[in-house]
Amino acid sequence: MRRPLLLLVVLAALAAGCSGEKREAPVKGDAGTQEAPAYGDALVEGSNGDVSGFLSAVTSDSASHGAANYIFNGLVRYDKNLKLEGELAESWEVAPDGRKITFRLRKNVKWHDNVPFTSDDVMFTYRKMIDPKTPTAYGEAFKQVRRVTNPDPYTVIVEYDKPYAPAMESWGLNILPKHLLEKYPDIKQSPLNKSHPIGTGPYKFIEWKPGAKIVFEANPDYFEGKPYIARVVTRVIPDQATMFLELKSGGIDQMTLTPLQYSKQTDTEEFRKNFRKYRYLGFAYTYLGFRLDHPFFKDKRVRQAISHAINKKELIDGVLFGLGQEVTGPYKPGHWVYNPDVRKYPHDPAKAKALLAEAGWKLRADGTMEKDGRKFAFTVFTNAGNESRSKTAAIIQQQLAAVGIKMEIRTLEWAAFINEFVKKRKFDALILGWATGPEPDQFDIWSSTKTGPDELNHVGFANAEVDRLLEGGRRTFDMEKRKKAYFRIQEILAEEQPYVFLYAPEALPVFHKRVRGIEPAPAGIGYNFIKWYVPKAEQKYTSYQ
Amino acid sequence: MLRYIGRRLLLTIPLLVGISLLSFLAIHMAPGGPISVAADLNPKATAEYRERMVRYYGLDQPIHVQYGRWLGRMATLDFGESFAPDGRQVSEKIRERIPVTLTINILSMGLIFLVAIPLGIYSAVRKDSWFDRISTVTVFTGFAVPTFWLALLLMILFGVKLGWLPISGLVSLEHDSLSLAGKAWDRARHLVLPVLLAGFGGLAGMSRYMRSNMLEVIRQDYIAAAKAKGLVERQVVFRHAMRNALLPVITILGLSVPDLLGGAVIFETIFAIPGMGQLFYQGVMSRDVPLIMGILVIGAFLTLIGNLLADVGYALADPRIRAG
Amino acid sequence: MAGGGAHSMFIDFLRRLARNRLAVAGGAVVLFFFILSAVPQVFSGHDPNRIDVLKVLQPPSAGHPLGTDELGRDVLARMAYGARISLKVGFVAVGIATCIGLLVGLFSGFYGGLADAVLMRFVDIMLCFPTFFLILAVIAFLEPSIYIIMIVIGVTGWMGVSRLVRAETLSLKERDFVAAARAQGAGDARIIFRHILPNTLAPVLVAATLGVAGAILTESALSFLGIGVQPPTPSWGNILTAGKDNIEFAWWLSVYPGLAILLTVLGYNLLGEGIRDAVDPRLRGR
Repeated sequence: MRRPLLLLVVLAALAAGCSGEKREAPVKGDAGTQEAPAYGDALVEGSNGDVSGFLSAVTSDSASHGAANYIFNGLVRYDKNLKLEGELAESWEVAPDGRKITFRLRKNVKWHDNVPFTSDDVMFTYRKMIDPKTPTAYGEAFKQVRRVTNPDPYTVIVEYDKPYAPAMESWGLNILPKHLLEKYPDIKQSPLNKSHPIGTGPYKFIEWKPGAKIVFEANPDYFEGKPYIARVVTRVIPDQATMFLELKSGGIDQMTLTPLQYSKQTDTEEFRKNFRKYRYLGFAYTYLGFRLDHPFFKDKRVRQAISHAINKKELIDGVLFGLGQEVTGPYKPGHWVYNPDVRKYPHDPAKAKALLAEAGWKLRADGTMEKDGRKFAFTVFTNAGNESRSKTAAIIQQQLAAVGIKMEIRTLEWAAFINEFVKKRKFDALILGWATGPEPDQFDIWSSTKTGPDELNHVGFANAEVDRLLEGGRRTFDMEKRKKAYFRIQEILAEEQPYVFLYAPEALPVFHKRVRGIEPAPAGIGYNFIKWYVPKAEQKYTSYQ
Repeated sequence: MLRYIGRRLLLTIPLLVGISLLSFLAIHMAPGGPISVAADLNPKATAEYRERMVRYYGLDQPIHVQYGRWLGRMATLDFGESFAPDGRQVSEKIRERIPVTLTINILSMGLIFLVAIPLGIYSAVRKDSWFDRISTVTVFTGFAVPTFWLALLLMILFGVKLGWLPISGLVSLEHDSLSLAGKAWDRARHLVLPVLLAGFGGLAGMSRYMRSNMLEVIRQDYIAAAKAKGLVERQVVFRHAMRNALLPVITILGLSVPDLLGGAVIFETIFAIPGMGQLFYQGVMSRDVPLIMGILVIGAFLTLIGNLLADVGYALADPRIRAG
Repeated sequence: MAGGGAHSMFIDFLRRLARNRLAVAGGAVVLFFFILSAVPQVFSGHDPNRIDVLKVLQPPSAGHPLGTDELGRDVLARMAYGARISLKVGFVAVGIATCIGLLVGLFSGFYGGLADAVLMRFVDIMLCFPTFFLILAVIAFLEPSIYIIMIVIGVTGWMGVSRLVRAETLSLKERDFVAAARAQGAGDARIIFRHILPNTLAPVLVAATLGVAGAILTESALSFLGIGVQPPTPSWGNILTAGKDNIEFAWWLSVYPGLAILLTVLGYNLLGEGIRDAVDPRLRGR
């Protein structure tokens, strides 16, 4: 809903969006047909929320980031297999001590207003990211930088005091045009953010009708070639049911389905004739987090008992209709640092009760747990407007009741939820999700130094060994060393259970069948967007280009 | 007449002052006052916001000075900057949204008039007939059905199954490339469902009001006299009763403004119409105080204007008031 | 007003009401849902909050006469318990609105003067704000608990009642029986509550009946916006809202709550109009 689609984006948000522009993949017609790629047609996508601005440095919602990705580029990006590759940077090298990165920039890249792109723009973007006047949530990575220099228009040298592994990814941020933004002390207040952005990306901005639509047009001079699809229109449709009807009636060509729509409402002949569904595991997971200084949850055995009491399979069946996977830690299965051999908590109510008994809880005659005259009752908080989370809460409520724990559910509007309860630590437990990315550094979530009101370790997790490992993991570029550190972190988190790691939902995009060239890969589907096309004969919007 | 309008305008002044005072107090009664609300929402810019808010509300001034400033800003429709991430001027946001909401409201009000008045008259003339009963149940159904449910049912029928009408939005993508007539047709097709729904919902109030006015007038002596003079019923109804029954209906026009505005929240959300109702709802969800206050005040203004127009219309139609 | 007179007046009232078929039909619907909400367990043996992920979105069957919802809960049970919540919202909200409206109206009408002028201007100002906007704005800063919703709907809905009661009071206070009571040494409070109040109740009852309908609708609209009664507590509004996302696939999830709201609101309206006509033909057209 409706609703402002705010995400707490931990790591750079360029991971797995439905947009973004990636390099050539072998293009082949889907469904066995071999039509030639053709220029033209428009792709109309549905979005719950409107954009709030076009400069991704100063926005934090997914709609705005999606729009920015059409218009802007970073120095680097993830390819289809989640390897970093150059975008505005042609190549780069990391000094052996890991403290210096030299980027060589592409030549002949032009801003949409035909001004050439140079290293001055990169310098400018960096300065804006560390400028206290820039209200950005993504400045942290750039505060680690000691110095940035640009000896010539196509070289940028970044130096760090200490090696900083997430550095590479951080240079995937959208590079901003210096010549247009210089005169604005706060880039958030600039017309580039508010009304007409100008970037280097595959699409040019055409118009924004607030609350209605945003229109983009293929950039004929894009440095990787003109995208096939001539126009992209993002239509703002707040209601999920309305959006689905728009899809079926042809008003939009693409949307993200809910698990329920994917599994139950799209299984008709009619639907299959017109649409193609995709599913892939995105970089996000949902968890039940405990406030660790809460008298009940201080005891590790209680947290472990709750993990045993929760049936993740039932959650995935009931909430996601099977369209997701169990998680055992903060990395999804298949991630390069994913550790499959950590302590697991199979659904086992008897064991849960035993662990609770060990922690001093006694089962009373009415089936509830009690300790020192206190009933085991607590409240879980979650945000409104997220159906999966409220369903998850309802199912967990029932599962915990079976072991004598009474869990109340409070659903709150996002702003109130974050500001009144999460930041002020006024919760017993909460159900939330993290959207992460390929970069495994999760210092901000697990470090004991990140427990302040505006910081992300809101459960108050503090473990000296994890602190050491987090620091070690981000201070080396050696993949093996990093992997070892993150493997160990997962073991500790699995043992400690500061969260019950619940599940990773699959992303469920659906497209009109005329759109070809979509090839799901580890990075999702958006990586080769500029190579998507509609065969000439099937183009729908022929006069609208 | 001018004197009447002038007097009527003077009467709205205390209301305007009341509206401003009430909204001023509301901001200041919010837990912690305007600053805390702002600071809560923008942790990253707390100090800057605090400063800006202090300046905006003049919080360093005594309270009556603060109110004076608020009044001044309201008079120029300056509600400050939205707390939303885009940080745009509230007045600018409202300005770009208000025409849509007003258009739909005026159209649906027109529809209500067109349908409700004959319906009410005929129901009154044929009191307790089957027509009366069926129309009673029908108009109340319009009021009773949850708007968003009926909206979706109509979308499925006309948009998906029959394919006659677009589902949502205000214009189609190709709108700009259409001819003038094409543009009008395109817009009309998009407006059918929202206007129909808003109209259906408001039918009950107006038609029942018309019906009972009519009943009252019919019972009056002069109608009986007219009938006794041997005039045909049709003539009695149209020449004598209707004019007198219609007059008070004009006033209900003004009264229905706030209801229609409130309903806009629902149908603008379900039909994805970028109007003021949707904007207000987004403001509410993100606790955007300046936006909420701005729209509340504007909504109250519109109601006042509606009432004023209704009273003036009434005066124009009724010579007794005009003279007084 | 002697007891016998009141009794026969009441019989008259019922007789007039019974002649109005629409009002009788409306009353029957109201009564049916009232019983449903009073003894929901009679209508469904299922626990309205019992989740069964193996039985999600099952169409109506012998075991689940109205089918199951997106978490496999019995829709009939949720509808029956939801009736209780929805009607409670309606009644409590209207109770609050009526009390405030009565007090303000009685006070304003009885004492007149400056207090009356100030109160009625306040009513005018409140009426300028679109009620639904006000409700949303208040709930935005509080929490959408069922109590807050009832209070907010009540506190923003009393203005009509107060105007009605004030007008009645103005005419009643000039009547002989008030003068008689005063002559017998009755104080203001006694006159207001013993003599004037009972005589204003008929129009208030009509307004309250219509108000219940309005409050039920308002709750469903709030639920659609996600700030009504919060799940898992069932209300017709939030069952319908959950149903709308499955409107084509699982029709039973939206049709039943949709019809329940429609019929109830319709019922209260028809009954309210019927009462108005039956109580006192004089009130027609107000």
